[in-house]
Amino acid sequence: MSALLEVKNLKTHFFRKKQTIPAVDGVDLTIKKGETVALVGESGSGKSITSLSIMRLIPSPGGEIVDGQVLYNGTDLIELPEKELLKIRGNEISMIFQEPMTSLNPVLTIGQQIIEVLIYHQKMSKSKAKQKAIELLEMVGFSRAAELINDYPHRLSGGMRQRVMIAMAMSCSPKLLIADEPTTALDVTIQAQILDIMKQLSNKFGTSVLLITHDLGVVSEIADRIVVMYCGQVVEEATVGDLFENPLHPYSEGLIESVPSIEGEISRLQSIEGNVPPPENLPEGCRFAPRCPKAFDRCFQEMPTLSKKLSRSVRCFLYEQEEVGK
Amino acid sequence: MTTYIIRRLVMAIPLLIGITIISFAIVQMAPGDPTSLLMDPNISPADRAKFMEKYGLNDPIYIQYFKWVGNMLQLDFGSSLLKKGTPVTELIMNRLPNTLLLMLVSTIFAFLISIPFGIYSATRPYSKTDYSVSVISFLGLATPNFWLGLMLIMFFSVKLGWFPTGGVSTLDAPFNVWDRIHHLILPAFVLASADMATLTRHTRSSMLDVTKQDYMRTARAKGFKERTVIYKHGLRNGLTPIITIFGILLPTFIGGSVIVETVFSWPGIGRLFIESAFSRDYPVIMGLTVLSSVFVVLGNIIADILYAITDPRVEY
Repeated sequence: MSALLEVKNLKTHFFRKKQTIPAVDGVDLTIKKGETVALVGESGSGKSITSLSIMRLIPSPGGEIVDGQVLYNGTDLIELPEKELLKIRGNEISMIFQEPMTSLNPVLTIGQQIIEVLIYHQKMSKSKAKQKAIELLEMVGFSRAAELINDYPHRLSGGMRQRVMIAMAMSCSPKLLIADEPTTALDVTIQAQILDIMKQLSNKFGTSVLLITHDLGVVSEIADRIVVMYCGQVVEEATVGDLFENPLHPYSEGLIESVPSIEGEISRLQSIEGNVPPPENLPEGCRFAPRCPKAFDRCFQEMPTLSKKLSRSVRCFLYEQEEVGK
Repeated sequence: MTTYIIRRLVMAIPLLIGITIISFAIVQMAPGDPTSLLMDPNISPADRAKFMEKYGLNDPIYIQYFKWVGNMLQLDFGSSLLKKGTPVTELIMNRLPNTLLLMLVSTIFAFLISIPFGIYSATRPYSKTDYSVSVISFLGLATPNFWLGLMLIMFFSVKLGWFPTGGVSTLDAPFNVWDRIHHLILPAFVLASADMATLTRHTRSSMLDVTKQDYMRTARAKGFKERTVIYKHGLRNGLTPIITIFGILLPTFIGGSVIVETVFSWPGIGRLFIESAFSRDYPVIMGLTVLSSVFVVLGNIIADILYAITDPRVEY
């Protein structure tokens, strides 16, 4: 499988007064064709900003992509002229957001909002686009799709709206779907349904998915690979199986331990001590060191690099030393 | 929708009853009575009593009120105490078209100028243009209409001679559309000026709020041009609150017309109001009060209906 999207050393900084906030600080990420990659991390780790940077939707003025490349099929989206970018955005790369309640335009009907994409990108006629919109809504599980297209978003529940968002995002059979915490705002039963639809459709269209989440339960369900982010950096990257069985980075370990498990005896739920440091005031050395149970002197002085280790990579001195020792 | 409109109209009835009571009471409470103005101060008490009897001024106040309301329902607002007893309805109808024309044109002025400026400001917040628009808006808001009117007359009419100093048309000239427009521009602009400022500010804040909404990000993520995002997805959401402002602004147009019509010697109901107030012409004052109240109530109902049309979330 070849790479569909390659993010290289992406740096997105926000500028506030005289402060520079490195929200995304040198992220590397690869998504292969047909693959589902999960980007996980606590709130404030830069996951959403990474996804918005890929789409070049960073609010400006305020934020700016200062360095790095986003290679989509070999072309750098960051260097791409606006006109070319607009042909890819919403057409080949589409996005679902966290807030289904507010992500649909309240004054346009569901139909209008799906149809406009089809007319704009696929140059469909209005009647054909309408037909296609009905099909798409049926695909995401609406039985009365023909009536639904004349309804306004406020008549739908959160789960239904998220399904509409998925139908909209899938309308042009995108190559890549970026889902920014698509299930966070929904209740658990609906979450499963949404994930199921996403999985089904991405298989059907051969769409790669970049799933942004802080919910490891969601990850284990649909992702192939996991990228763990902390403070704007990737700290570990591995396949789902590897990461859950044998997390290398102490942060990944902490994340997995803080998920309650149904099996096994009921023990006290683990949590990672402390909080994510504010991005304008990052610690010296390894950014996780102040919260890390395994930190030693070197961690507070130097920043570890993301080093490859077989099929996975990790940003931690523990493993660097291990290799040196061998 | 029809039931909604009917319901709104029915709900306006108690409001209108309240308005008639208050406007009647205010005039009753004002010092002085018509006799002191209309009649020779040296008149005999007998003649005075006759006058009071003739106009029903001796009746208890509530009887006077019911008589007045009863007549009003038949569109009879009584007749002017001055002006040789011309019926109030006739006086108002002679003047009303002029005022309506002035209000209509200045409303169009206000919306046409302020909405584009508001959007422009909102899409470039905290830029130099945005600040300039804000400063001009505040100046417009702070400038009294009568002063602005006088300044414009002095500059454009007296010094440059571009526009006439007042009136609806050139005296003794045959009807001519261009001549009417020529006379309209200055007063309509002055009447619109204060509201233009309010509208620009409201459009700006409403659009600024809209540009931060999630659905705008969704629209951008669909790959639309910024222009499509703002005008197709933003504008309709941003304008909904502006429609309600229309309902709020209507009274200011009526109030403003009193001043503007006086400055520009515009023969509309605003000037009729002033003339009647100075001469204590009760029937005319009361008729006009009721009429402008009806306007305000109607304006609000129209705003509500427009609101229901543009925002699908409004339940009716």
